[in-house]
Amino acid sequence: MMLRIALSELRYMFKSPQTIVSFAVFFLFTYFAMASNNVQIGAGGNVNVNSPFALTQTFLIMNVFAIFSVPAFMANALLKDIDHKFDGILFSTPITKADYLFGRFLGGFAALVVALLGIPLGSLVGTFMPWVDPETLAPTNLGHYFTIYFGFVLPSILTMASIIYAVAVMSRSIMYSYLTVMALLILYLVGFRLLNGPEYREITALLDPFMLRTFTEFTRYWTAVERNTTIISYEDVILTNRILWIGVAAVFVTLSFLLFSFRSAAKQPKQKKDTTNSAQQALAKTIELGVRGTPSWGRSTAIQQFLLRTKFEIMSVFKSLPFIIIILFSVFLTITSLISRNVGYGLDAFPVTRLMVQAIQGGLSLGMIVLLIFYSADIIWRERTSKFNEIIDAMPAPNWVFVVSKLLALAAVLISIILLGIIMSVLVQLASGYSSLEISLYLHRGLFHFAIAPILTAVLCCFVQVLSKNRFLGMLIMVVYFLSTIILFQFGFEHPLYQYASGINPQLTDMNGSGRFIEGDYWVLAYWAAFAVLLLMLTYVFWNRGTLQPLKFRLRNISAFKKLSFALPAFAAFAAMIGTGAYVFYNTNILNDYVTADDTEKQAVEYEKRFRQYADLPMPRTTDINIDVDIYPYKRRVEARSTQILENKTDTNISTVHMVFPPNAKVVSVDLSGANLTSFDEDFNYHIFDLATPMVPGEKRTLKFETLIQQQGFAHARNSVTLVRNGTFINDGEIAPYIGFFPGGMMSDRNTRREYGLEPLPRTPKLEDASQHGNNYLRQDSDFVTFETTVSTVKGQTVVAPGYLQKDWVEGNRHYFSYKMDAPILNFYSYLSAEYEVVRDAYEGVDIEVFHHKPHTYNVGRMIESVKDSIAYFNKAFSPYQHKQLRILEFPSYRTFAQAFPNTVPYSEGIGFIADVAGDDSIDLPYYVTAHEVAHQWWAHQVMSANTQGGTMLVETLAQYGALLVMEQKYGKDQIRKFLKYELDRYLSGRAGDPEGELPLYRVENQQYIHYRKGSVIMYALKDYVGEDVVNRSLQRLVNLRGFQSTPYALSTDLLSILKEEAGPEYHGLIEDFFEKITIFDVKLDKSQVEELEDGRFKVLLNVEVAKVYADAEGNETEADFDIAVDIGLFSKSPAAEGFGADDVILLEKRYVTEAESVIEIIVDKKPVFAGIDPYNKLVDRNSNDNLATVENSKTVEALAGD
Amino acid sequence: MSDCRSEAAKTKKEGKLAMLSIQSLTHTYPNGVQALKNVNLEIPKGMFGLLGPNGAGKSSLMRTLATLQQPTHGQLMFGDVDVLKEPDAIRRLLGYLPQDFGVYPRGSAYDLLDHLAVLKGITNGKERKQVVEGLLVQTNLFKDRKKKLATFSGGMRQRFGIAQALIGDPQLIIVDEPTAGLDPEERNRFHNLLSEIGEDVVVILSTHIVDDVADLCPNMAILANGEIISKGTPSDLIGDIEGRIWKKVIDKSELDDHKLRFNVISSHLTVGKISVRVNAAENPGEGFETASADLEDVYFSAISESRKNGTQDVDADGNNAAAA
Repeated sequence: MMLRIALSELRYMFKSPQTIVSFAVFFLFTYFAMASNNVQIGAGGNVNVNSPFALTQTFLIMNVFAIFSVPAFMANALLKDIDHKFDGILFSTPITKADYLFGRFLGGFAALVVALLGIPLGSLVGTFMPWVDPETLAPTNLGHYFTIYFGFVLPSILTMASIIYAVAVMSRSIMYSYLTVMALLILYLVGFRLLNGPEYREITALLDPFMLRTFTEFTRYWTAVERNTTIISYEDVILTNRILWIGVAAVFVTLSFLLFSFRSAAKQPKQKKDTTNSAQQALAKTIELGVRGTPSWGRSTAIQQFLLRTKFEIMSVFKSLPFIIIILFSVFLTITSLISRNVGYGLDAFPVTRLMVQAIQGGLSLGMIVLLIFYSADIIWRERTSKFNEIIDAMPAPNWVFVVSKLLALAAVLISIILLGIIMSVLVQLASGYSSLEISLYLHRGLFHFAIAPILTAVLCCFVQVLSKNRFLGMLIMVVYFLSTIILFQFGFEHPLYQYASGINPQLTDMNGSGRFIEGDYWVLAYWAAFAVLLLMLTYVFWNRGTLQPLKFRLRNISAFKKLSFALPAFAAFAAMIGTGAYVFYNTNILNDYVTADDTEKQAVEYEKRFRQYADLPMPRTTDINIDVDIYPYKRRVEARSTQILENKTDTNISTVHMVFPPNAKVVSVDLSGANLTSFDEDFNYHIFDLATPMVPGEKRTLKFETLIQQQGFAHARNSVTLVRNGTFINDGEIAPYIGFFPGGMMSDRNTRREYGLEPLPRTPKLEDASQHGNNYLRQDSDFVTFETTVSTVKGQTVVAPGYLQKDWVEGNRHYFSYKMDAPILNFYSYLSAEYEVVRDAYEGVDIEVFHHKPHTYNVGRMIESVKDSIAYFNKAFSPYQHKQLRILEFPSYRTFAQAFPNTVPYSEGIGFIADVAGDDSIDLPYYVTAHEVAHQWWAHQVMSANTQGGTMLVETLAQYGALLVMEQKYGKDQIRKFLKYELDRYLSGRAGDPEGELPLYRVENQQYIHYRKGSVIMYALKDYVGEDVVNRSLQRLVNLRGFQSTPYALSTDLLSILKEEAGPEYHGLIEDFFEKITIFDVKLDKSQVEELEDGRFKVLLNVEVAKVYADAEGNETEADFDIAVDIGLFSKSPAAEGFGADDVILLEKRYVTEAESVIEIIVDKKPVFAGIDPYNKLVDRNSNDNLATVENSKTVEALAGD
Repeated sequence: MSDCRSEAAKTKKEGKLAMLSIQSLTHTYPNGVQALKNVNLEIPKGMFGLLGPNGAGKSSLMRTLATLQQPTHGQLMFGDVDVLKEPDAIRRLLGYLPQDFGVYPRGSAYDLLDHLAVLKGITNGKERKQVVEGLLVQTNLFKDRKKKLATFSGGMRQRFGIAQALIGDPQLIIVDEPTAGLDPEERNRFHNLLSEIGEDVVVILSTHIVDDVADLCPNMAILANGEIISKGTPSDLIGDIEGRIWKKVIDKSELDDHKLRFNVISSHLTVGKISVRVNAAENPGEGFETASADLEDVYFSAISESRKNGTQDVDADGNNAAAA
């Protein structure tokens, strides 16, 4: 019987739209994910798009979306009889409860499983599309699709199905089932956002019902090879997770069974006792009968009706359950987003109002979309849903009263949510003791500006609902609309003039506020507001009173526009739309080029096609730079005039000189002495000069040019963030030419290149490529140059460039500054202009200055201290500081990095300036970043590396090393261990995402996860193994050998050979493991036991396992002998514990452990509580949590030793 | 409204002033079903009964009169107001009780009635209070006025519907199946209320209960299959068939045979036997006795007549339509 019910349910479901729709949606989703190059889930780099890893990831993500389908199957299976009032008949038939309940469950679930087959099938079909890059595909393995879908996706769906089924049984309401879905989803999102740190990884992996985190955790450090070949299996955390959730499913299914009854409970009427009945009757007698009222008609009546309706609609929303749920979860989301202001290394930023405003928008946007979709339907269809429409519609209130009050109610609801967000923000600020609230920023960006787009969308929602046949169709249309806004963008449809209620990203910073970015945004919003007025008028015209008329019929109402009272506003709105639209178009397409992301790719391809042929021509190099720059921050304009000396440093004659000016620069004039401009390509600013008489080796020529850059009006995207009113930050790359073919103009992403039929570009020339040993990796058209500049800006701003200030003067409303560098520098300079406050200090003859935005005083002291500590340490450890000054300059957080120019460090407000380094245990981010940048004055500006593999190791890895030295000196070893834990994690996670494969450190090709993250870990371990003095002595020798050298520049092998000499032969293997190979260690303390000896000392036995593998670029591993010494430690307190110090170390020494599994015996005076192998995680170890364990007491140490 | 009476006088018929004039009203649904076929009616002041079986098009006609549905074509005049062109003007004169309605899930009877009174243009708060309270008393809902409407029983809800239709002294009252779900006491109360006001205004009472019309309406029409098949005063209509109605009590088994051979207009079960009534000019014999005609006979005669005229798709069965 149960099976018969299940089968009939399945048959019924097959015929119903939800099966077809769900299947179609999921099929299309995964099909596009597979077939489109713009959407990629799980793949990328060397990981194939149909690898088990990518498939699992795709399926599991779809699994989350799939829960939206669950109620349509599970709740529907149960509730359709009740909805159709068929329950009375059905439930009185002689079927058993179990048959009915489980039959329907099975039938609904089977149909759901079939509908979701769209997920694997879409993926599968996608791989056969002819345009899918075959390089990214592995041979089809149907088994993978089968195993992943049935093995890993289905259990999650079963869990969700059983929960929803139970809710449907309890509530007997489809709506509650959907609300449960929403609640679960938001709870899921919020919960995992709260538990986001690395410390929560294990628990989230265990708890994730969709297994996404479980999967991430399980495969966290998987290499490309593993991702391509290995399918996850039921073990470890995956097994526990599945058991947990299958258990939950079982509980809910049982619960449904227990709670279900064919009889619906009779509702107990909640009647108050009629004690007052007689009183009521007495009162009723006093009432005058027969008064029917005299209606009055006029404007004031209509307004009173309008106010009444508006209030009524708003209260209806406020009092409804879904609204309360949405509010609760929005509050939850917002608070999470308000309190998670992570700026890295576990630090939060101060709750500045800008971050609060951004957090409100992040926290509310999901709730707003749900609210718009759901409540537009609810409000528009309120009368029809409650079947009160015939009474209301026959009432003598004009149409506009209903249309406008409903829309206004929706807007009021949106605004009230935003206000709630603002109130929460202020509370968060006050609670964290932050009192400089920027109320005007809240009102402008938090409320007014933020509310516009949702309100415009509300108009669209209402319009769609009024036109739809039923509210579900309207909701579906809106869902499709919201999805389309994302998808269209992905496919290159970016223009705001056809993306409803879109705008132009009005970025917000502390230094520059909304800047002029918001102007363009307001123009676009004005355009859409005018359009919305038209929509609103159409909504009014199509408003349907009484019986729902077909659309064709209602279209006749458009004749209302014949009336002047209608035509005039419509015409005005239309004119406003045309006017603002034209102005936007003028700005985005005429003043600026409308360039989409796809266009940019095509341009790069074209550039390569036209000019790469010139890449190897001999070119002269810049040797002297004299440049005058005028900055007009309000006009967002920069003018540059320069005289530069070019020298033929080659040993051949040069008869043509090529130069590429920056793409956005207008070249006002350019003149190379003794040369004629023979070719000028306007598209790429590519100039070719023919020399009347060739430049002989050693000959110098003068290059004069004038350039101009300006942000004209506004573009649809990618507006200049370097030219802004307060916080202009430009560098040489925006105003000065590159001599010769500029390789950076080519497209580098190898997958995109393949799409255009281009061979992959080497990321970096090979280490052995001697032709590059005389080129530095910053730019290959110059070496060390002399530098002199006069720069002006508006009065009231300070502008800073590399060099020492010679003089400054004011002329009119311009402030001039003249800077000159006393020794040659790299051809790498910048200008920053803003209304700065300056904090000055000095240390051993070096002037220290921090130019900062006035309110950002929080960490200036830490920065200055870091500069002092760094200069002191590096002077001693490496070589003397080459400048007499070091300046830190804050710039707006449009970009978040810090960068080291000669004696000048631009530093984004977004990273160090507002970081809240509150606790004693926190990592001092401003101190670290400053130290890193100061170290670059040595490792970049003293020793520059050649344009080959390993170049960034000498620059970035050594800067990290410098920062580690000063941090350890100031904060101690514990802080460093904490810091390195982050670094190790980021290195290991970075490995699989590398598009071209990993390389050993000494061949790093500008791979950040290697030169920063692995670099930190390796340098600290190296220092530990060979001693700091050995490392520092080697670095001194490197400065002596290659400092300020361009013939040749330094190579990573230079450092390695010095290191090997200094460290001695016993460390050669170690240095090779660290630098020349990709070496992964795996050490583990299996167990440890202690026994008190008769002499009062303690004998400790440690069972340890050690392994070492070498990995290749894709992550294929080969076992190697574990031939290095490793730390063995015994402690009276866990090194991870708070307040752990040197006193807690009983023993820490390096020992050789050559066997894969061995037992170490140690006798110590003090009884250890914790023991560990490599306890401080100095080695690159993928499982660094099993290095430490508590020591067990044992009487039977002998037995242990024997096993 | 006084000046429109002279207008209406032009359409004088049967000695009364026609206030509401329906001319060649036709409505076809998008799926092709013709709900109303060329309906012409002149409705004077006072109670007007519209009788018809289920699905005859009564509600379509009511909704059209209440501005809730645009007919395919035709003309509707109330006095000198064109109902179709000036819906807002007619709504100000209208009190409408739909056949089947729900209520907002929140709000008490008092609150919602007050809300509707504002929409009906009663803007003076004090006056509105009087109106609302008075109507609550008259519909016997006063003691329940603070209860949520959504918890009301069907009968209470129906009474609420009646109360709201009376707000603002409407000149045109359209009540669609008003007594459905009312117990006999409430039905009486409602009839009294209607007849009180029914003298000065147009009240259109749509029903399939013949007694309602017989009790209340000086004028009536019968609608079947979208067409007016009979109209006039009840007494005239009864007079028309007086002497043509014959009755007989037969066995159940004889029914089919009788239906074939005689013009059977209705049949009732009476204590295991069946009493049939036949419309015929002369005594059909076979034991038929003469019976005095009543409105029910008028109704069934008309229906059965229209059915014979090829309107076979009316599915109402005459057997016990008057069971209420």
